[in-house]
Amino acid sequence: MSGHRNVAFDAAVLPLLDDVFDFARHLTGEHAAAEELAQAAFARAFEAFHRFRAGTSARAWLFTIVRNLYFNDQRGRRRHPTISLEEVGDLGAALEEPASDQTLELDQAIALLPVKLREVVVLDLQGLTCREIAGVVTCPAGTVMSRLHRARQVLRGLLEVPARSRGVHP
Amino acid sequence: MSCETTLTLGSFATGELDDAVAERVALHLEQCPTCAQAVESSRSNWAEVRAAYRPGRASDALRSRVRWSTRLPEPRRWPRVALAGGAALIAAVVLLALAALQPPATRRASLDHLAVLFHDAYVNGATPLDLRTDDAAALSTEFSRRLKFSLHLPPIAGPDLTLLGARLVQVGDELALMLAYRQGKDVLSLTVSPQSAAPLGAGVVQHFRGIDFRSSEQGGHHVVQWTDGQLSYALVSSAAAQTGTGCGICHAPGSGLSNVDDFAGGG
Repeated sequence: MSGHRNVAFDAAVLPLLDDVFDFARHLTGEHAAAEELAQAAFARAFEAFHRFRAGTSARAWLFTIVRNLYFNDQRGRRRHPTISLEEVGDLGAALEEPASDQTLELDQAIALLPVKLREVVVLDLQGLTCREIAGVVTCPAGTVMSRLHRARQVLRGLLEVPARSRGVHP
Repeated sequence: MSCETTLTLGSFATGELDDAVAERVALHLEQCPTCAQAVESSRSNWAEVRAAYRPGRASDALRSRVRWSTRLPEPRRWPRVALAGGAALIAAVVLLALAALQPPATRRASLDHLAVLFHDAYVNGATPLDLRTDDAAALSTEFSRRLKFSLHLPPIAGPDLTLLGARLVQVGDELALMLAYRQGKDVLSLTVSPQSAAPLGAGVVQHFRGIDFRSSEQGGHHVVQWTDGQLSYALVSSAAAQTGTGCGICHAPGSGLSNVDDFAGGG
């Protein structure tokens, strides 16, 4: 049966590697750590694939695994790293194409958010619905809406200065 | 009616409210220009942020590592039977002989099988499209950069057929593309893959303009596969097999195709 599992995993989960890596890079703030986390998440997903229910969102399921691994690791290390603007260079390196100035500013701004706001805003940018995000971060949808609202306010404030400096209104 | 909170207005702007609350807010906005302006402002600001967002992509090295780590065969679970002495030895020899005769666990799946899985995963909402657009030229340009082959998708202009978009999929060791179309109420998908990535599955063969088209039924879907040059194609639809008229992607009057070779990718 392993051949069948491989095929089903390839179809439903493997194409989501970019999405998982993107979420991981925003959680960890480091390219190497994001690759490690994404790889660990796929290994865990492969082990637990028999528990994935067909017809549900594979992306939400994978993001939940990524998040659990990340926070379990953080709890184990008893530390919560903060990200400086200098470290954000690693995030830009993960982009395949040369990023526009605005993109780097957005990545920088997202990196400055507290992790609880950062995770919901990245999941939102990845296209998850509010209800799906609530399932991933295991909190009520109302809390997600509140965090998203706060995250957007902060992002708008952070993006306003660079945009104005280029003469572009945000 | 009192004004809504900025949180509610912001959530309304981005479509995150339940239907009942959204209905209440919509009624309020019809009577309150201040809140309507706040919603419009919030909506356009966030749309700009969304447009500026460029998700990171996994490196080829990570892609290879993940692929390798999810290729391992499952550990065999031997039955817990207490066997003693010679009986255990004989059983072990027999089991080892049987295992040696089994086909490899990672035998390559055929393209039609994979295409149906991709199709179902998309239709069920498990794997959304990477790019939603009905612009065939833009889609060809975008994905030609990400695939090892170039695409030349023809413009589809049928009144009953719409290009929905596409997403990258994994076929064998290669990246391939699944295109999604809507024809009437049906969703069609067309997986385009390097020919060497997966073999075509079995099916009834029809020879047309120098190409063998294989038709089969799988899981309630009708699948047509063919190889043209360096690329293989698998079309999945709910339509029953109808020679020459089964799919509007190639056969609709507005498809713009005069020859099957017009629908092709470069090598």
